[in-house]
Amino acid sequence: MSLMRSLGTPVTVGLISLAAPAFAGAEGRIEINQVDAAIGGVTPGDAPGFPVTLDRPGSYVLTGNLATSDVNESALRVLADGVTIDLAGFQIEGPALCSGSGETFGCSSGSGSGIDATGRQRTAIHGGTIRGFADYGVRLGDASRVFDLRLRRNGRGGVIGSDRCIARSVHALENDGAGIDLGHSAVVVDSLTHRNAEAGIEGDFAAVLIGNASQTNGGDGLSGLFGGNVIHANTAVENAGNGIRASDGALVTRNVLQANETRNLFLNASAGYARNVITSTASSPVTVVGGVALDGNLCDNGACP
Amino acid sequence: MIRMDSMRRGARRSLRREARRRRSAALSAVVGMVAGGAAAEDGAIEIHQIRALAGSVVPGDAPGFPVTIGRSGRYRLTSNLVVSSPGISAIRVDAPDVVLDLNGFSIEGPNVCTGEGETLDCGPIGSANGVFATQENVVVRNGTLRGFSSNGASFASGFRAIDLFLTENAIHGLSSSGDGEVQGCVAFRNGFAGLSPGRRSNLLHNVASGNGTNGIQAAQGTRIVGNSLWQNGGRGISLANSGLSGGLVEHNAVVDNGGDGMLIGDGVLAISNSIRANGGNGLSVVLGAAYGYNNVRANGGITITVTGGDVASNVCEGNLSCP
Repeated sequence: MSLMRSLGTPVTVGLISLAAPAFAGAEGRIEINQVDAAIGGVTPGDAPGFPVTLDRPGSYVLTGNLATSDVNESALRVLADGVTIDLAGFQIEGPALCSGSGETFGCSSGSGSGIDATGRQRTAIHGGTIRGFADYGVRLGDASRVFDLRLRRNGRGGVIGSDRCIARSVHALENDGAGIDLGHSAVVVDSLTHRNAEAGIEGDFAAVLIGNASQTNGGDGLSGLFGGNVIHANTAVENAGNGIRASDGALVTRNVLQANETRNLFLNASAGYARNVITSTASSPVTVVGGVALDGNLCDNGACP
Repeated sequence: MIRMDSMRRGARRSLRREARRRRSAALSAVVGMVAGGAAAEDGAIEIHQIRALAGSVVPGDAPGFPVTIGRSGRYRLTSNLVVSSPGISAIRVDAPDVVLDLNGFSIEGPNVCTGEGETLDCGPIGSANGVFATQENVVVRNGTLRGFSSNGASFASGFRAIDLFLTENAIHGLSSSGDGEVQGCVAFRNGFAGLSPGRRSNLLHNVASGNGTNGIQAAQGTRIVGNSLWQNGGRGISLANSGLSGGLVEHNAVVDNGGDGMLIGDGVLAISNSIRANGGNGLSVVLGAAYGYNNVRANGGITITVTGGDVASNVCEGNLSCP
């Protein structure tokens, strides 16, 4: 609404409402910055202040950093299917504070997320940083995508999603939960999870986890919690849980696992594994538990047990 | 105190500059939308709903849908496009070498699907596509193609489909007559296959789920790597032609589909896939196909249908003694 006020003429306002939502800038995308958030009217149902509610499908772009001040307040709330949010290199920052390290690491509690798209489909979020929210950095619904995103120091986790989601080139660091936690039929590629309080990466049935690095997380490095997962070409190093945990019918190939405290590789009895390189240490002595060994696995420079 | 006042003045100046910039940008957008035919600063030609209805996006484009792109170049959506008639495509590309950036927007038709996978019903089939490319080397990326009576996207050869959501299209999410690349797409709840590319295509890191028939329906020489196929009504992956098929199927999760987990034809190598809890056979193998390092588990039919094609060990029902 602020743009309509500033433009001032009824004719122009009419054209805007016909042709594009309020604040449509170059490329037709709706612009969001701290001033817009404070004024409201980013979409027709958006009230002044946070959260900025996106109740129309379309494409949105940040034109400045956003900062919230209430741990129970989300920055952006998606209320329509088919919303794309380009952070354009900017940061969305909440007020949650994290302190401590390792087992003493903790963040402020609260219910505010960076972007909350719970229950919506076809949300795409990319191109910036989301940090300091007491809940998750990002909550996704079904069939959504995050890429080129940094999620740091959020209180319950980096990103949580429903089924059929894709995460690509996501860096989830020091979140007080899992770094990347997606549902069934997830694809997670080329991502980095580091020093999260729980698992680095989690997926459910039919998860495909390829080319990721998970290090020094408080839980498992990578985890396929249900069945039929493909976990390939990842590194899992110095995680407090299992390096890789995989369920019924999973396949675990060509991963490098080192110094993961609970077990380096923990598999359901029917999961297969091949061509992994596993290195134990005095504080992480268990190389492999469970699974069916295919060829080419190397445990501490020798055959796997 | 003087420094604080100076900072406040600076902040106010910044806000005024921002307001001026936004007014200018918004007015430019409005003028462009009404005038039609203008290119953006980077040379891309902008397409939006009003311009689509007005016509002349490029010379030869008649008013209304489909927007016809008859010249090579770069195009960008600057609004969602909504087509209300069930028989009409949204964008028709009749020139080679076109890049169409959906810019995060959606192209939507009126088709609606109910149910999912084996229970999916997408209504009557027609001839409308979200994007219908008749020429080679067309790129479409970053947006949604939803609700058309034929395919979400239909391509010739040399295409690229990147980061698309493809859903509720009555036939396929994506179809092509020739080779191309599909990467980072989510194809779900389409009436037939999620992804049905032509020969010698490359499918990387996609999700195909809840589609009416096969998740991926591929043809000779196709490479299918790192995809998740879950709860489709037919097979998870089908790559088998009459005669020589060829192709590579690697690192895919094929789970809980209604038909076979995977059908691979002569000359296809299926390697390092998880094939679990599908309604039909786990791995249906045509003579001449090869397979290794797969985990085939708890499928409704035969675990692996043909012996002798194994190029490496597989895990079947939790052990290495596969048929």
